[in-house]
Amino acid sequence: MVISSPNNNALDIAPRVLYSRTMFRKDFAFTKRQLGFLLLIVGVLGFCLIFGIDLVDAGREGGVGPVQRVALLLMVSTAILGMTLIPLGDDLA
Amino acid sequence: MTNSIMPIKSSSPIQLIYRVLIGIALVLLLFQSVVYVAYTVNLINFPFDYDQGEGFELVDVMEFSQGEFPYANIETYPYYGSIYPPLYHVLLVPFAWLFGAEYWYGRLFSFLTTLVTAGAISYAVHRAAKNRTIALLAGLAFLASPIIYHIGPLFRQHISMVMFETVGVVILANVNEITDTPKRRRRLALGLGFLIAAGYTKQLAAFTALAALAFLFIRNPRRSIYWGIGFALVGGLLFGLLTIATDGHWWTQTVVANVKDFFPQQAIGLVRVWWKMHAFLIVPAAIYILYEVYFDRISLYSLWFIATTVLSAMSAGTWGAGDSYYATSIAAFCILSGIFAARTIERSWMFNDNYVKRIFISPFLDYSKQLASAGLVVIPLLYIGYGVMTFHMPTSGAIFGQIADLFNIPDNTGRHFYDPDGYTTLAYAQIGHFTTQEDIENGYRIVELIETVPADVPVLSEEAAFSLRTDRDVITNPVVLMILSWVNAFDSGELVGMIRNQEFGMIILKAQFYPTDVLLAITEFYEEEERIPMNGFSYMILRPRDLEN
Repeated sequence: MVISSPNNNALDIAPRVLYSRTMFRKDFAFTKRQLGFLLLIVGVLGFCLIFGIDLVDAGREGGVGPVQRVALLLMVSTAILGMTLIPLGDDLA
Repeated sequence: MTNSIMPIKSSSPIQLIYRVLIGIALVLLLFQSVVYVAYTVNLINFPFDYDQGEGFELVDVMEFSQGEFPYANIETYPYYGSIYPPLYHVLLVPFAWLFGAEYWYGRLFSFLTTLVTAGAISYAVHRAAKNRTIALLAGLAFLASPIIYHIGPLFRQHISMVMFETVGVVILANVNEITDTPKRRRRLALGLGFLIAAGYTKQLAAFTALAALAFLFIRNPRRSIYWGIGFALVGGLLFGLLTIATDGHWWTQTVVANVKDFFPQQAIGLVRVWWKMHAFLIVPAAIYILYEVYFDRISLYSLWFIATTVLSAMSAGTWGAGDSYYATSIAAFCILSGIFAARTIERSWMFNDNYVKRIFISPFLDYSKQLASAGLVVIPLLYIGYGVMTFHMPTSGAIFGQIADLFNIPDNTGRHFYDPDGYTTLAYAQIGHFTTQEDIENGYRIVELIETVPADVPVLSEEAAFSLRTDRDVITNPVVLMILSWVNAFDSGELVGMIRNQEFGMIILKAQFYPTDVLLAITEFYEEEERIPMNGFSYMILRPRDLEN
């Protein structure tokens, strides 16, 4: 059985994806909406972290490198994919 | 609400077209399997290195067969180390006990693992979509890829890793649907066990493990965390034991020596090759992933394909990497495209009612019958297109030569072999051609030259086979020394000292993958006597330079 309410709005569910104890129940499985939020958060945080490498590591040279660019693109794609999943509601992911 | 496309009558003329086209696809891919078997037989009979590094894998097997680790101090004689995990070599130890240092059993073992992988792919497709013909095509498609063909029968560990990964993934893919708890736990343990086996065959399997754990997390976070901890503990414990048992050399050689420079142009070139050869099956695989994301549950196969393709594509840009890094991705898209094809043939698509359906699917629902008919033509054409784009074969020899002449298939590699890339892309393996009797004779010519050196005088050979054939110490694993020298983890002083003292009676160079100071010392203290061609390489034979004149 999936622990999520179809009546919850998106903004209400978002923090619960990460913090709710229900996620660790025996019968919990991610819905498309919950997975969407998770991917959105991972994409945004990942983008900031990867972009921030240059700010934190002042000794680096050459700006954003090729691997970094690919990783940034992946993070943007992850966030966009997450956004498209959110409207799919309580279908199981 | 769900919709499925209604079936059309099996007596329809379109069915006849389907059968003819699917027959052509089967013939094409079966012919590639015949080429693959012939290539394997050819390599099994070749007694020297075919691919750079095979001999050192054999040395690893011999070390394990004598109860020794190949992860030893590389700064002292014989300066030998290994950058690969042990499982492939350990599995070959019984053969080493029975037959000694021979290439054939490692190559045969690798070949058999590709058959197991193809079988696992076929099984996965049939289990998911119940179509035997498409399941067979999916397995054959895996074997037909030039990337799989290249490394399938080599004495290398990579393709065995792909087998462990594929079998592990196929076991885990349906594990969450098992309601019987003890049975589910056994399956989880078995599937994750295969992934640990893959990781201890080659490090790249970490990407598959990531995909599997992500899949378990989406389906049941609690289960994934418990099993993920167990997985990490078992894998970590083995790693720790190996590090302790080898005085830390395992860590240095399998981790430090695998941190290499990244070359974007190499990565881009290999992505292009991968796409160009396999696009006919990558596209349906990608469509099927989108279908799962928006209309079905996301399978392990989808996550596996995404993770291994993206991460392997980036890894393929590192020094020493190559097209083989896509082997796991190929296994994944063969399964996904196979399920796509079988569901199209069986007309078992189901679309949940959501905004994606309203935008992309609903406008075409009125044409579902025509689309189903078109599918019967398009699916076999996809496999025919794949067969054409991956086509490779020898262009000489009794039967292959006649076929090549009949269909005007050129030798585009200069080695009596047609390859879809033509050996043009950077880091694309320039192998696949058959070895010749002349290659074998030239290899034994080098062996004869080594035997002119007194038995108590060491010989430094860049290819291990010559040392093994003459019962001499295998001195150095050059690539390991070179990579570790790049990260200042190898002091070449003692080895360079031996070269400067001309302690080696002969030096044999192939690709010259030694640290720079070692090569400089060789150039200064040794001189080239002759070059002997073998299998497309030119082996340089060097003897001590006369320093007095």
